[in-house]
Amino acid sequence: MLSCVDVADRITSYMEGELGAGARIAFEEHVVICPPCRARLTQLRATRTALGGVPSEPLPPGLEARLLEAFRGWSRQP
Amino acid sequence: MAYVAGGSSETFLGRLLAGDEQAFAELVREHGPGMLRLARVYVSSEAVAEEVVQEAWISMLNALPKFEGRSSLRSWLFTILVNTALKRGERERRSTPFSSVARAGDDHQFDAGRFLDDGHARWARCWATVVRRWDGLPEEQLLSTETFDEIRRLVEQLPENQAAVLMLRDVEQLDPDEVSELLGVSRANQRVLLHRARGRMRDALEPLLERKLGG
Repeated sequence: MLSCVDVADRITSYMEGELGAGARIAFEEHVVICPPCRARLTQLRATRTALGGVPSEPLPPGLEARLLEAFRGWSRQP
Repeated sequence: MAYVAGGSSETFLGRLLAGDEQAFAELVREHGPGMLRLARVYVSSEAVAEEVVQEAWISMLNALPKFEGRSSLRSWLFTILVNTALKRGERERRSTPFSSVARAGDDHQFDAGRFLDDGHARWARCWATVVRRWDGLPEEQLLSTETFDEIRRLVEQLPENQAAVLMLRDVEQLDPDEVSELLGVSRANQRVLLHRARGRMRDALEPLLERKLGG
């Protein structure tokens, strides 16, 4: 039976789908009966969701203008 | 829009090679912001990060006629960006005091102190602290400006390799094989870096999110 420390150590491997079948079953058997580890999994999933939601900020206008100028220079090359 | 090898991406690459400025502007608007975010991981100032992005785009244009489409255009752009930023970061590190590169170290012990020790009579290696569920948090509170500000603040403090993996995997959402190839790290090392970075990010978000939960 895995301990809570073992589950915390393996949580990223589990979320990445990288545990083998036996290790995944052992992980899930622990999480089913252990509310703190189940809660921990919700925390890491929420963290990943928050990271994926970070909005994209447009490039500073000066940089975009410099890039377009660089492109014009590049496209004029023979 | 996803520019991938084969199919319509060939048409798109053809437009770039023919000097179609609109095609280039689309590409810059799609991938430029992510490239600038990633450049900030490697260099210390916004001005230098912008220079790195500009240099990377110029390198990309010069190499474009030889692009074989073995990776996605996006993955290729990030690879050029990382190589450019690493070279620039090395030059910066050589000319700046040690204290300014303290982020390169990593002595953080993920979850240290949160568990009862091996000698505990009944609950050895179990949680010593209350662990609250975060899945009840409404999405608008999880994905809030405060959360994003906290994420940006912590990314600046993470060791460079952890920050790069976290940005590419969880923010830019590249797949693990692409990230391993473009950073030159094995899948196992990538997983270790991701584990540490997500753990630190969780720790940083905890006070804010638990306050929102009413803790």
